[in-house]
Amino acid sequence: MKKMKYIFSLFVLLAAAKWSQAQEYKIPVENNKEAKLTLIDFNGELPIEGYSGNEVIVVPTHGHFETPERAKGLKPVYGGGTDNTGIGLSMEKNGSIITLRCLLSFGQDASYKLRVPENMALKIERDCARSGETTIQNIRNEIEMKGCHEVTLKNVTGPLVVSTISGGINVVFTEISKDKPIYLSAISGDVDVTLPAKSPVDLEMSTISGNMYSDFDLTSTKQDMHRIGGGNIKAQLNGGGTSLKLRDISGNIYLRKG
Amino acid sequence: MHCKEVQALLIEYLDQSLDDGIAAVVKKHIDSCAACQQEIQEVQQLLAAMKDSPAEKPTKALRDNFNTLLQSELNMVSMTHLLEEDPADGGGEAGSPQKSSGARKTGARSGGAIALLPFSGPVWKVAAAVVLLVGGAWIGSILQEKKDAKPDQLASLQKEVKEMKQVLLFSLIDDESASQRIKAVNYAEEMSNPNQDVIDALMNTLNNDKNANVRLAALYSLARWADNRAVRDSLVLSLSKQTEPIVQIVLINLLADKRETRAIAPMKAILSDGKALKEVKDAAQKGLRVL
Repeated sequence: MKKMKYIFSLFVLLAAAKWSQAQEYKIPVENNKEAKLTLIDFNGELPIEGYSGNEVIVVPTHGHFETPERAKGLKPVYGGGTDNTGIGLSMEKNGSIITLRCLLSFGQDASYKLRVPENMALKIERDCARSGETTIQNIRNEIEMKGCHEVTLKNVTGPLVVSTISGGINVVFTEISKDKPIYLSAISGDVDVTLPAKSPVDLEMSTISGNMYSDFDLTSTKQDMHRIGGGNIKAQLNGGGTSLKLRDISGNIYLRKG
Repeated sequence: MHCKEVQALLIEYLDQSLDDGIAAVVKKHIDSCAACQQEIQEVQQLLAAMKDSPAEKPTKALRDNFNTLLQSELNMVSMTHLLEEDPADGGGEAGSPQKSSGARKTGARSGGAIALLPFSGPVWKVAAAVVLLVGGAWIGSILQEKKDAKPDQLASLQKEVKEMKQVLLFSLIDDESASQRIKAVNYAEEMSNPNQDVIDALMNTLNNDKNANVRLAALYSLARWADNRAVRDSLVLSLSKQTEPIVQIVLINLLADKRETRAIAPMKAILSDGKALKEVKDAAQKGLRVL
């Protein structure tokens, strides 16, 4: 009986694997700094993970994309463009520049999971109607994100330009890229950043009605640089270097040593 | 010709070094002028007295003194020669220590001089001194020149840096990467006195950039010159155009802080705008209370 159960679960697993494989959409691309992936208006939770391969792999984790019996011989039609992926996305590729646009309306229940070459740059736009957290990890290139809800980044190097409206921004840096600025802004959520303790950074952070907390030694260099109300801190960490700006309106800012 | 002119020419006249024409005129005047005749006689007497006085010769004592001085100087020079030769003798002629001091005095003068010729002779010392002096003067003049040029160079260097920043700003402000565009705005932040082009570029970014953070960076940069009339006008105008909520909020706070009453109308418009975010409305309400 136990053996039967085991074989049955194995069968289910295999079937599930086959099903999910069928649903995978892959785009071959070079794993270098020139490659760029733009994601527009994705629905639901959006986990993105960098890896050392040469393909962008999109897996729908939620939603139905099988053509129903009645639609045999017909193609799915969307308002925003043509579904050339079979999973509700329109894909455009120009050299190593890839754009994926979600064609589903915000009312449709769907979500995706992505694996991308780790050296690729990412640009993500999600308006407030697209609810769900965006999670990005292991990316070693620029990430530009304009979101509305919670954004969580782990094991990233920057440069980062992230803004959100009603969620917070959580970032754990493994190292700080040189030269190019990092700029994070939130309105009602908190900005929570963990930096390697030795990062050379020109820090500027301000929140209008929130508070700021840190375990870095922030001997503010210029307290009154530009007063736009609220707290404003300008300091050099480890001799200064990459420009790091954290802005919040009503949320708190947390700056931690990693 | 007046007496004064004639009298000035008298010595030359007597010396017969005047042109014939002038000499004839002078002679004619002297013949007819008693004062000048008197004068010429006196000059003649003076010249005769000078001619007759015996030439002063140096006394014997002076010659003797000079000779002793010369001799002592020569002795000094040969003494320094001997002193300087000694180490060379010890090293170079270690194999012949039996050499007599007499031989040294005669032979070493030339032998040692040859060994040390390059840098030990008085000529070389003089040459070294001259080189040092001239070199010093040269270096001094260069330093002086540099010092004089410094304020100029510094100013032009600062100008160059400013221009370079401006070039970088304009080359990056339309970059594809948002981080690069923020970098461009940061360059503007480093300028203490930006020109109108820079302010226009920042205004354009504030109102039209695709990225909220780039707009925000431009706003923080422009906020420093918010007391400038033109900048203030543009900021008030921007509030009614602005679409990014975070920029709207920061802008409302800035204008309220500056007591800018012209911002009241756009703030009221935001309050009555159904699409505006709650946080933006809150900020507008607070701003209106201040104004």
